[in-house]
Amino acid sequence: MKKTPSFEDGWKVETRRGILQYAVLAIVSRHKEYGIHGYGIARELEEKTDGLLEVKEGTLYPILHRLRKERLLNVRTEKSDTGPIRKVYVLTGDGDRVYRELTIILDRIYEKLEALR
Amino acid sequence: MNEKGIAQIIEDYLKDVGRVLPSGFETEDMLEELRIHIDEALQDRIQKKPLANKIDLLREVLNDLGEPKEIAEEFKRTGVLLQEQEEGEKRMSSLVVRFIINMVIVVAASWFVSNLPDAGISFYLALVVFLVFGLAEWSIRARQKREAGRIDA
Repeated sequence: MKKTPSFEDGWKVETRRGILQYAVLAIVSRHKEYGIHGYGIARELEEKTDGLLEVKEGTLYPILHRLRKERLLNVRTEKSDTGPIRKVYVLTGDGDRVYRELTIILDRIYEKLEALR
Repeated sequence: MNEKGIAQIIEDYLKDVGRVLPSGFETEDMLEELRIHIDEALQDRIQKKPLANKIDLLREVLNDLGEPKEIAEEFKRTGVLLQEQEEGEKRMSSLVVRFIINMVIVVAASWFVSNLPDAGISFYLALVVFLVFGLAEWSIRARQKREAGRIDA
């Protein structure tokens, strides 16, 4: 029988989804000069958040494609350590602006939530 | 199991992912990115645990990537591929409509020209001539569009 996810599990999934796009922008923003490739983003996400977001790494790629479509990320190519050409993601001007705006919004949300507790 | 076995497991995984996503350029692009991700993650793990069984390490990598359906769900949620697919379908229907209209014009023009007094040209010859002209125009336009696209990019 299929187990119904608990309320907190469902809430975690929804919250994580919203935060994940921001987290990807934040990581790419940390690599303004040279950009960062998909596997690098996954590693950094795992290391910096201690796995808190419990991200399945494959689901990062649809997010990266979405952010590219929104023109928040740009792509350039470079040779990977294992040989083939890989994509390196860099923040666009718009991406940088959106990332800064989202940071302000998130800070305000946390501040107000803190006041509620 | 040898390197060939590892390559087979990777291929099977990518095939499973490809199966649950709509076919198209975006999917091909993403499968290539996933392949590079798997290679890099595996090499990383082999370096960290040189004595571990490579197949076990590969299973860990694929487990971290997630089930193909989880990736497909994220794609559906972000709407990237669906939008692409819809745009592709629209482009295809517009192409079919334009082709039908062009064919009607070519047939009508051939009939008209072959029925002109003293035309001296058969319907079929006129049809072939118009079709050749039509194809030439189509290919010139397609080339111009491609060049314009390159300049935009």
